[in-house]
Amino acid sequence: MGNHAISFREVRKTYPDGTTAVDDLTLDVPEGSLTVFVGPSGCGKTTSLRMINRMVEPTAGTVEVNGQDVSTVPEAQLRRSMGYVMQASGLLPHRTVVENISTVPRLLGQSKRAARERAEELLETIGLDRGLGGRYPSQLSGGQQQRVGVARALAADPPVLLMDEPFSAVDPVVRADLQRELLDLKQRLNKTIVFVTHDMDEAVLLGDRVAVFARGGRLAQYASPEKILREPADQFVSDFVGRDRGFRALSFDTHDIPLSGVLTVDGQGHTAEVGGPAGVTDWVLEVNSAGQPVGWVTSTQSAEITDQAHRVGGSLHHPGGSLRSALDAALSSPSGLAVAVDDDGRLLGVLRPQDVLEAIDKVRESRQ
Amino acid sequence: MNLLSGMWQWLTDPTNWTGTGAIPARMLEHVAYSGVVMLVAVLVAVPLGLLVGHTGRGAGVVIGVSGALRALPTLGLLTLFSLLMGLGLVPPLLALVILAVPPILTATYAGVAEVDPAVKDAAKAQGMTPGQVLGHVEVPLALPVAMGGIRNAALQVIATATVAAYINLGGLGRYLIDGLAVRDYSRMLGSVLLVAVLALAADAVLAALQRAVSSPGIRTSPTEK
Repeated sequence: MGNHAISFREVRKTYPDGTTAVDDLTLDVPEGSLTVFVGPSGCGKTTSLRMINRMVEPTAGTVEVNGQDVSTVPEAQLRRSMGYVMQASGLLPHRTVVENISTVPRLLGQSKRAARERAEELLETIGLDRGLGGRYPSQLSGGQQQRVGVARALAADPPVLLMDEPFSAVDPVVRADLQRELLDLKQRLNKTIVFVTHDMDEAVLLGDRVAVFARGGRLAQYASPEKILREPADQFVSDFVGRDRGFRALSFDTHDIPLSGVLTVDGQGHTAEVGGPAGVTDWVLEVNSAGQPVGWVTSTQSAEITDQAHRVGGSLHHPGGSLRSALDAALSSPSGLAVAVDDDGRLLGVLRPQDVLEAIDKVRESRQ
Repeated sequence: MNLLSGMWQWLTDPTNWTGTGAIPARMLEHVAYSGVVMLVAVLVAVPLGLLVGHTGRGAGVVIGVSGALRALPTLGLLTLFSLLMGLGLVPPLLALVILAVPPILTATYAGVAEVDPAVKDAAKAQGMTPGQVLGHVEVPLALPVAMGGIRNAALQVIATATVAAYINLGGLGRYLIDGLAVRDYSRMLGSVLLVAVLALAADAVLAALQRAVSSPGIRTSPTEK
């Protein structure tokens, strides 16, 4: 593999008081990848990120971007060639959204008009209304500010994007949106992204490659997220990854699980069997006129779903989905049966927990 | 005689409003002294405040010296400077500059120092040079606060510029000194009122200027001193 966008070579950062922030880091970030630096606070992940654009100078070693030692590039020029997104959006409070997004193009000497057009185009790319362009940062929500921060980083179309815990200050729902959109942006824009987080779930979700940093600035493991979950390199990594790593590792496994039949009832009270003959008869799945599952009712109940827990919520299994989603769909279902739907949300049948477990077993056997 | 009606009489006496040494001329002198003092004070204090705020160096010295300067009585300084340099315009102007510098200096410094470190960090990380961080970020964000210090200084200078008359110069202080000499309290009170009106007018102008230099995005931050 010749194409390393970013390379750390025996990089060390020690502060005058003797603390070591980064200890002998050697690591290659492949071009076009999304690489996540993850670790507890004080592990040097942010320091390492900031050495890429010389916001921090290493004490020893070199950082190369596209084969060029960054210490040979003037700081301002280097930083303008990389997008930078930070946790506190860091938007200039006295400038409008459009002016903020235009920052780097304007520094690079683009005309106000061209920068403005580009900024307005980017507002759409990041899912914001063009009408927000004239607002000031203080008039935006936290999630909107983060989006503007991302747009600002993208404005000069840099090949490298550095993101320092960009989503950790927003609420979980907005964070999930932003994460999904980042993956989407990455697909469309083909950037090399280095992403810092302390959240292992976020690292696993976003990263092509994950670098786990331990306290004292030691790189504990650098591998694919799947490998880190399945084969933690040492005690530190397995502790940091956390307790449900076995369950989470199922996110990377798929296996065909045979569908079973289920008894359904529609709004008119007509019953039917979907996916084959129903094995269980004391739970009936209510479907709407489009054939989409609504919720579970017991066969002794009227067809009125009173208990919210009986509604079919987000935990639906799509055939071809991961074993984690299949198992979660089964575990969160009051009947114990995972509801499988097609891409249009129409009921295909159900998965019995024993079939899910059997699939997990088969995958494990095939790996050995 | 009733002091207030006496003052009113003095203020409305047409002979006080025409000729040399009349109210308009004295006001003009007063404005000129104050204007020159404010200009010099701003030219000294604003760049120094920006420099100290930007580099973070010398903040302790600035605050200490500003505090000490504030404690100096202007009249005492004027006397000292006059003894050292002789009579003329320089001693009172210098004494007034020393009065005006501390509030402008500390406000400018505070304005720069209060800029959110995350904003400065982000500006730097986008590729702004230190000069651009100062010009594009710190100055526009510090300006409203610095203007607060300038307003404060202007009020003090306009009120205190009356001391110029102490060493035989003009300005509205003339009426105070001369009025005292002949125990014409109406005249003294009238000139005090004129000084107050002048100070309020200057403050209104500076307040408008302060609004003009404050981006709508930061209007929520303190605009008053």
